[in-house]
Amino acid sequence: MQGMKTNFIRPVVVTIGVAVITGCSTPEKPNVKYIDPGSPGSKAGTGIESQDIGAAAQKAAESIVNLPQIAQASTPPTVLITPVVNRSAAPIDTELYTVKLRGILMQYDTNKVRFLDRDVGWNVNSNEMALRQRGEVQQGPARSAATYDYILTAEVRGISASSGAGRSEYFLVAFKLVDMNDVLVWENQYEIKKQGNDHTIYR
Amino acid sequence: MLPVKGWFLAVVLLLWCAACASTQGPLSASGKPIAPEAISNAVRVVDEQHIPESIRQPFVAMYAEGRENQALYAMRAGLAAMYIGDFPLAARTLDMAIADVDSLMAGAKEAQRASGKFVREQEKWFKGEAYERSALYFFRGLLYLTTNDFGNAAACFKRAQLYDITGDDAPGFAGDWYSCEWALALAAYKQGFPDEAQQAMERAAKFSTRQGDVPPPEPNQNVLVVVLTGGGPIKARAGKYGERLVYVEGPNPVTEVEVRQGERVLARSAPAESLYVQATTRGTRQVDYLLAGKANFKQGTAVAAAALGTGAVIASQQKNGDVAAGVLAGLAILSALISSATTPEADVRAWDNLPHSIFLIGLTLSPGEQKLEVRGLGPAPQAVEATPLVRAGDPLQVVFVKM
Repeated sequence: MQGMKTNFIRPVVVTIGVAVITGCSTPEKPNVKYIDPGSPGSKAGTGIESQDIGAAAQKAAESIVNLPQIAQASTPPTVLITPVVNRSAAPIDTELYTVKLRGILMQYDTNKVRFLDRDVGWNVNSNEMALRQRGEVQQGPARSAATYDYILTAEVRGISASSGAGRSEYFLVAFKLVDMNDVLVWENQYEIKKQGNDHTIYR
Repeated sequence: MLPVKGWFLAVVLLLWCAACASTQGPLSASGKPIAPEAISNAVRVVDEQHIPESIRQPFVAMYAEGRENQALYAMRAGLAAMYIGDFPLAARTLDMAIADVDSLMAGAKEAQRASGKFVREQEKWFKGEAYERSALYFFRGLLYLTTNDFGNAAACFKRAQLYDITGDDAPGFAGDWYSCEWALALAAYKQGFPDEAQQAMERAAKFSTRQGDVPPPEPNQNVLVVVLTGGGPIKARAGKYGERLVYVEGPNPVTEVEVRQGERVLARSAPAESLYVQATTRGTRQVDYLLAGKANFKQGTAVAAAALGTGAVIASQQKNGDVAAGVLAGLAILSALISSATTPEADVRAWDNLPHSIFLIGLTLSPGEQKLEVRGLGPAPQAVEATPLVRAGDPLQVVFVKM
């Protein structure tokens, strides 16, 4: 009889113990790990992420360096990269696209194409020229700021939908190379489509 | 019988101790104890970031109250920074909340755990209700307007509409934020897309949640006055076990806004948005079914405990009924404990510094410092002076006024 009672009580205590433990929680320890920037993040959403930017820029860069206007030019053409125009429903770091694209193109062959970067030196150089002209600093060679042969730009468009069941997003990234006469000499498109849904507890 | 009683006594004491241990010290928004070192570390981080004194509290809480509350406090802290005019800090902080809200996988493990019967919903990572997620993107969009990044501003206003999802019982209220379409139209004008602007206003004209006459944006407007009034929706629990999430309307002191320059009335507008209306037109959420299931389970196990207890009493009065009475009593206690441990309470963590109403007023002003008087009309009239410095060639200047 005593054995029966013990057999009954033990599962009860174990069950209660499990319930109590389930109710408690231990704070997660912070941790950091390196991951490939080209790989999907573990906290994926349906918006545009770093791997999408990298992949699109890579594809565009490969196409640009093989363009006859670039590859067969007698002197390396100069390109001005303008910020991405975002017409999608996902905020993006528009500067990141241009920086990434320029970085990839520079890796291919710096003799094939040159880039105009007025953000870095325009104000400083102009100010220095003024100082030279006033004789406040040494005279140097005359400044002759470069101009560009092509504008490289990109536009992001998208179709997004959501409901209680989930989200679906399609993005089209269109890179364009336009010459000084407004002629579109090249366009390259990159598509991204994602869909997913939140856990039920968030819906 | 004594050893059995001893076991039960031990279990009851254990549970009592566990309950006592969890109520000592400050608790997080999720009801978990906050370790003193977590608070001191959070204070150090906030000191290092030179967060202004008047808005330190939500920032300290953001770093101290656990990952599950980060987005909650990032929303509060971001808006607090916006209210004091620190737009870069506001943008950075709201972006932290966006990272959690936009990620489908963020907090997935905790979400699964919080779906269980014995874990409270408020232990999931906070991502806000639909109106809070939409508000997050709306305010982020306004901050993009302050830096004249009209593409990303427009993207935010579109995304805010995407997050305004509804249940099957409220189909006409999805994506119906008038303020988002209004702001999208303004951003589209500034990008040089007038067709897109007109389409946005055509969509907005059909929304049943419209609050009154709001003058539409115009392409040549160079000042946007954003007036935020009153207090946002207050979350509360209803139902036998607090399993239903309900909203109480926050204070609404202003129902109309007028912008004056001297004696001249430049514009007059109804609210472009009522957050209380947005919160209460969500319809039934899927989590409501989950919480209702938990509540039914809690009630079922409580009823079973009472029935088993009655059975135990009856059995104890029978001849040779000791064993049966013991078993029934044990089951009754077990059932009562399971009922007690079941947590159907709805999560009422809320973005508590949201306004009741949002007013959007576009103006065309000459370059130079302008002196404006923003008058709030309604149950508690008030006036605030604003002095935007309009720069020649600047496409848009955004002025925030809080009442």
